[in-house]
Amino acid sequence: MLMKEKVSVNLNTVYCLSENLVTKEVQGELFVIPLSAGVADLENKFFKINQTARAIWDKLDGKKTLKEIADELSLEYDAPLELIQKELLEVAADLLERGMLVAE
Amino acid sequence: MQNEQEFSLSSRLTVELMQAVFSKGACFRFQVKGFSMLPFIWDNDIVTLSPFCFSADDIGKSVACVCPVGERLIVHRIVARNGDHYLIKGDNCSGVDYFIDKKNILGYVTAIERNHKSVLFGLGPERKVIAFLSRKGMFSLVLFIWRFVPKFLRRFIKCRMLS
Repeated sequence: MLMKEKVSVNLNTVYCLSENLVTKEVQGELFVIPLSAGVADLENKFFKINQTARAIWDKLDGKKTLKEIADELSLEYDAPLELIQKELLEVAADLLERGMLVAE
Repeated sequence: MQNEQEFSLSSRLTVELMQAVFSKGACFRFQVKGFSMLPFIWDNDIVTLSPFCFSADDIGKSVACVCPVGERLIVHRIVARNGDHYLIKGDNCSGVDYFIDKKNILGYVTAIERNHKSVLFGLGPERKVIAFLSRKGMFSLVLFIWRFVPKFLRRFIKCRMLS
């Protein structure tokens, strides 16, 4: 049996969104379709980014580390930094696993 | 993050996503619904669309466009052209659609998959014959006669038309 390797995410690493993504905002909702060999496959995968992921998504500019992003989010949202960091790591791991995020 | 299975896309949203994909020069793969393009495109076939490049060779191409009535997304065949306007028609429709402005044409079909198999017939040079027959209203008659053509002969004709 093949075991899926767990993606490791580091708070001190800078991540940016993959270039192989098509994003479209429709009525305030963000839709993302990954491109595979130049094809956007609506049959296999596309995503709607939820509110939590969206707050993080908008800050993944390839310049800030996750720790810096967490600091910014803790100033914007009334939540403990540890909780924001935990949520951020989860979202980043999810995006990395789906190939939508790349480490700089 | 919500996966695609958890919500269905409206025609308008599909068009918006398609436009976003084409603006990046990428292709768009999705499942079609309906019977208007029988026998070439079936209900639930998966089609791949490429961004539409306007050329003199457009007649017969199956295109995705926004229908002026109801703003629906449709995949029909170009049967005639008049300047910047294209007359499109479903292969299985008795009447023609409308003249569609070229700005409403989103992309054209470059591949069809049915039951995980690629279907080519209707996308090659034979598309011009289909468009001609369709425009003249003779396509239904040809399809009717086609049923009585022996299987080996059908295969031979298909091979000749695709080569």
